[in-house]
Amino acid sequence: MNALIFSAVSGVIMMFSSFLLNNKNSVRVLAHVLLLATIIANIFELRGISFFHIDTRGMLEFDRFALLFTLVANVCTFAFFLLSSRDLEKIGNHYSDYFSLLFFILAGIVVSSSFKSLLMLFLGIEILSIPLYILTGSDKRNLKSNEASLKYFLMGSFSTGLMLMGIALIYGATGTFQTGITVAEKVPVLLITGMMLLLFSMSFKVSAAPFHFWTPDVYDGAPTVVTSFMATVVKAAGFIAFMRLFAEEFGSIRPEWKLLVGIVAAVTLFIGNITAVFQQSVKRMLAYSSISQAGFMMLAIYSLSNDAKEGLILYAAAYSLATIGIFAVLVRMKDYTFEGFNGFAKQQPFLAGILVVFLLSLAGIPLTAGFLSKFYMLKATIDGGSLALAIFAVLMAAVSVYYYFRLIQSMYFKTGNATISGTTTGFKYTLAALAGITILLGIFPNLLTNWLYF
Amino acid sequence: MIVLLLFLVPLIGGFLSFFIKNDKTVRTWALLTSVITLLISIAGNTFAHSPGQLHFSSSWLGSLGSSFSLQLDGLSQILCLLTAISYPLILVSTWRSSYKTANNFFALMLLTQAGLMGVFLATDALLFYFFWELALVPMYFLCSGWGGERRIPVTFKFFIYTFTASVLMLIGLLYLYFQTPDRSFSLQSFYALKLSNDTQSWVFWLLFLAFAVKMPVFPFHTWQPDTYEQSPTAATMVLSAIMVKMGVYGVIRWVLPVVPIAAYSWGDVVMSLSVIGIIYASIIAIQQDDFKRLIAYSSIAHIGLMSATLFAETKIGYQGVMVQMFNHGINILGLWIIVELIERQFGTRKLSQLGGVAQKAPALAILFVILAFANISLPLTNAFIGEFLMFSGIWSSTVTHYNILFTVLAILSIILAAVYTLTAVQKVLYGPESSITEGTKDIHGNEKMVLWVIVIMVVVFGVYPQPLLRITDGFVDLLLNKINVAHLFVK
Amino acid sequence: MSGFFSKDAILLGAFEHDKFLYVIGVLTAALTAFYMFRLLFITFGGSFRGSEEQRHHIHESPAAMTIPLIVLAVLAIIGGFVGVPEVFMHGGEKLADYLSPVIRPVTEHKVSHSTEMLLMALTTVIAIVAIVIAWMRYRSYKEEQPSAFGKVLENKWYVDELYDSIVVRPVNKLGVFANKYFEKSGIDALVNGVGRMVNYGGRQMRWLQSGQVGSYILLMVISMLMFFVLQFFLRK
Repeated sequence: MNALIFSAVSGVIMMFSSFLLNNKNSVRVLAHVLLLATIIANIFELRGISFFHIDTRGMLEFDRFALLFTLVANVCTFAFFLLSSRDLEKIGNHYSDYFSLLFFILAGIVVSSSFKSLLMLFLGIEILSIPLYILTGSDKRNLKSNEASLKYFLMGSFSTGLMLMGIALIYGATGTFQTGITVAEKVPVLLITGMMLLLFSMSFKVSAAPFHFWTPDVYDGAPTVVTSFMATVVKAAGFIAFMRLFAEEFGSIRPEWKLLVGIVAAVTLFIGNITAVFQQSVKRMLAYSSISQAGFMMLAIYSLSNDAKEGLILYAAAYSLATIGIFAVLVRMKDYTFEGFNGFAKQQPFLAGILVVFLLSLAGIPLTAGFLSKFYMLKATIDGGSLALAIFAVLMAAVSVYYYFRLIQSMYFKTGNATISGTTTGFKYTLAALAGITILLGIFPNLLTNWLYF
Repeated sequence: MIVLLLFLVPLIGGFLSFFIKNDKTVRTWALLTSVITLLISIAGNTFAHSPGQLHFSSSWLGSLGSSFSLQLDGLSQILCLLTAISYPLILVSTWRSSYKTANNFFALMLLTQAGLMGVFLATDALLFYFFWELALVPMYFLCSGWGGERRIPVTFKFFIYTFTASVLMLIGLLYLYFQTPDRSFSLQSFYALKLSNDTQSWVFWLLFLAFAVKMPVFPFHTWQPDTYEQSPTAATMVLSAIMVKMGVYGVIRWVLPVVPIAAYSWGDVVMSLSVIGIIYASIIAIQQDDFKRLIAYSSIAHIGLMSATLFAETKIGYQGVMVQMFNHGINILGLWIIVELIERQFGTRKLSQLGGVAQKAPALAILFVILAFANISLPLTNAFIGEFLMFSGIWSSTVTHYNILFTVLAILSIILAAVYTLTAVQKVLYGPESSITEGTKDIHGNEKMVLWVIVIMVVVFGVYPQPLLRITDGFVDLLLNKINVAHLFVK
Repeated sequence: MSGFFSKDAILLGAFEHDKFLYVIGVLTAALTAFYMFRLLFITFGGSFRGSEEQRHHIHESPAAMTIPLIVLAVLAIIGGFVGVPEVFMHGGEKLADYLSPVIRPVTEHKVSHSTEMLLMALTTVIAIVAIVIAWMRYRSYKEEQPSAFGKVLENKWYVDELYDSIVVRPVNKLGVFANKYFEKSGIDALVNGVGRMVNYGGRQMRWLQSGQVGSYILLMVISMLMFFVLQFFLRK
């Protein structure tokens, strides 16, 4: 509740800040302060101290899982602010608006990760999506950005329609919007159909195949900073909502959807990884990488155990930190292709070293958070009864090494003129801190997962 | 404590090396670190026998059922000793090679050593996997960063190949974890497992594949000659002297006692592959003109013999494997140094372009010839002890019906080894001088010293192998015990 | 001489065992005598066949070589007495005693002492005859073209060539074949092929990403339909 109120209010404050503050720097500082306040408020709630007591009539429930994820999302957003807020300002003149939109997205994340009613799920997903449509098109004079925004919006509405239809069918079958249904022996067809529609629309939101088609185009077209946020925090939030929905609402009809989710996971892994191999632009590669990582996160939904919960939180953190870090460097590069990174290590040995940590984490090499989060997923999958899916997943992870390491090769082993601008000392230290967290979580994941229990 | 230091010293030394910018200092530092590691390892082998010194366990990832536990038993001792001895020799013998950004090079070398030590010490499956990758990743950077012309695609293939196999191993380990009653990754729980025959079979392949690629066993070997050829010599030395032993070690530690029935039932297949590999690699070695590739294929043949012996399941054979793991490491190190010296002096590794070196470089010639003899495993060299024990091991094997056939085919490898090794000796040392070898100078200084050390080890362990045998004797008995119990169970 | 007694012991053994072997043994002994003395006569006898220059350089070997030669010669003479047959000296077979822990001593000779003496004499006579032939033929040796049979002998019965064609060359050919076809375009190509397949797959998969919203939605609808079919009709 704390985080929800704080981020919603912060959004409003940021909206008006452009009237009151005409200095870019002060707007930025304000945004940082507000986000920090949100984080602190969230930690308080995680420790059992809630500032607000509002009766949500059981439509929202702030359990530890939701709170912890909100914390992760907020911290990742904070890292994003620290690294990329200056780039956010370069998109256009309405920089305070961008911050306010980001805060609204955070509010949407809170709602969609702590819903107890399907209405709240819908609301949360929409609060989270609509600002994204705007942000995607925020580079007004760029045709690609406009196109991406329109595509995203069109297809997004399509999936919203599916979701609404699904919710309606479920209401028809059960007579309630509250989650946690119990079903009799025979599962009503209406419920199954509703469940499937929700599966499709949620798959769309988290860009799981075969509903991922918007992802590469939109990620590629959107301003790179926005992509960075969209591909990480927002996607992870989608997964939390996905997990919550399937654990609480459809947990009792698990046999009905297990196969479907398994197929979606496998197809996502396959398409994401195989297509990423051929990409020439790092930005597009990261778009496909986000799809392939989504495939791994789908495994959590497939197995729905405690391991899967811990793992999903860890995955969200590991994946977001690494991807935000890589995007933060990418924004500053002159050339977004792999060739553009040739010789990077020679000019920026420090940054290159940090990028290597992030890439290793994404590829799932031990001693990084990325490995352990993948490990959790595999463990949950095998526990959930599908060894074949786990084997398929690791084979695809081996494919992913190919495109992540291509970037390493460009940076370290090829000669060229990688040009990067605007790397301040603070920027480097922030990145180093992210890399540090990545490694720390890779050795002691309990630092994060223990919050679920204590 | 010793056991922890074995891993920590190279790890910390490696990390610190990143920050030493001066070329000379970082070399000295790396050498110092490796010498300290060697001293610790010797201490672990000689007087530190209390369990407190040889075991270390600390809680780590408790929620995942894994702990940070290391142990120095007979098998670990011999491999840690090999690792510890090899490093100073490698560093001294490549002292004169120049590297761009030397600090990174030596840091990665030491990190690899830490990973290798970890692999040989870990008694927890997850920890083992961590170290397995920790050894691989720095190695990739070493080979790709400082290697030859085609290094980028070649080492990438090496990396993806081994990585793919190792993630499958991870799945295998995870599956075993779920079978343990207490949900634990510890080696002891794995040893206590009683899996059904079918389960054992595919767990066996999941695990064995990773080790087979690493060793490499035919037909998973194609990454190896290219990688050896393209890597910087120091990295090649680590790869061939120590890293391939990770595969052999893995089979002994994590496959044979864990899935003994599968090891028994698939033994014939693996032995056949190994024996085919021995002959196949030897025949191809005869064709090689590049000295590095020749040694690479020769190494495949030698390792093939080890992997065949592993599945013969005889005491004498296992002792041979233990001894030979050490001896092969030492010998191939010597051969690589010879290659390095030749390449540095003449700028080529092509045998056909060399000749007549013996006249002007008698010291090089003598050392080379002794090492060549060791490569053919002539009596009085250390390799003879190991290979002879292994041949007897395969011969006396009771788990396969084809033991005699396997032995005969495997022994062919000695003849073939004589063919390619002596051809190389002849082409390099004798015959007419070529335009390249006209101004041959003899070796001196570091390389000479290292080669003499190696040659002395070759002869000493060839005449008096008991110290090595003693280290592993107890371990071999324990191992056989674990495997044999299963045999009773089969019958 | 040591060679006499040792060879004789072997021949005796052969005689006891198999007469044919004995004949071959004696013949070999004769040939040995022949070629050894041929060597002697050609090297030291006859006229000098080298150049004047070389002739000038001939000298007695240095002490470092002569002394070991003398020692060896002495040993060759007295070495024979470690195994004198019983015919000449009772209890003379010192060597047999010495080796008895290793080799089971032959306790009983099947052959009588007189036969043994006879055989020895025969061998000696044959050897002397061979030496005489060698002396006749080679005492004044001139270089000559070898006869046809001599050529076969000069080429060591062509055994090397035989090995070359049935062992060395096939192994080499096999090696070339294995290296070129099996290794490079077999196993390695298979390994690389997996990588290339992934790459190719990536290239083809790209075409799904057409950029047209309409086709995306079509694809999504088709896959939804497939999921529905799977869920309601195929799943048991």
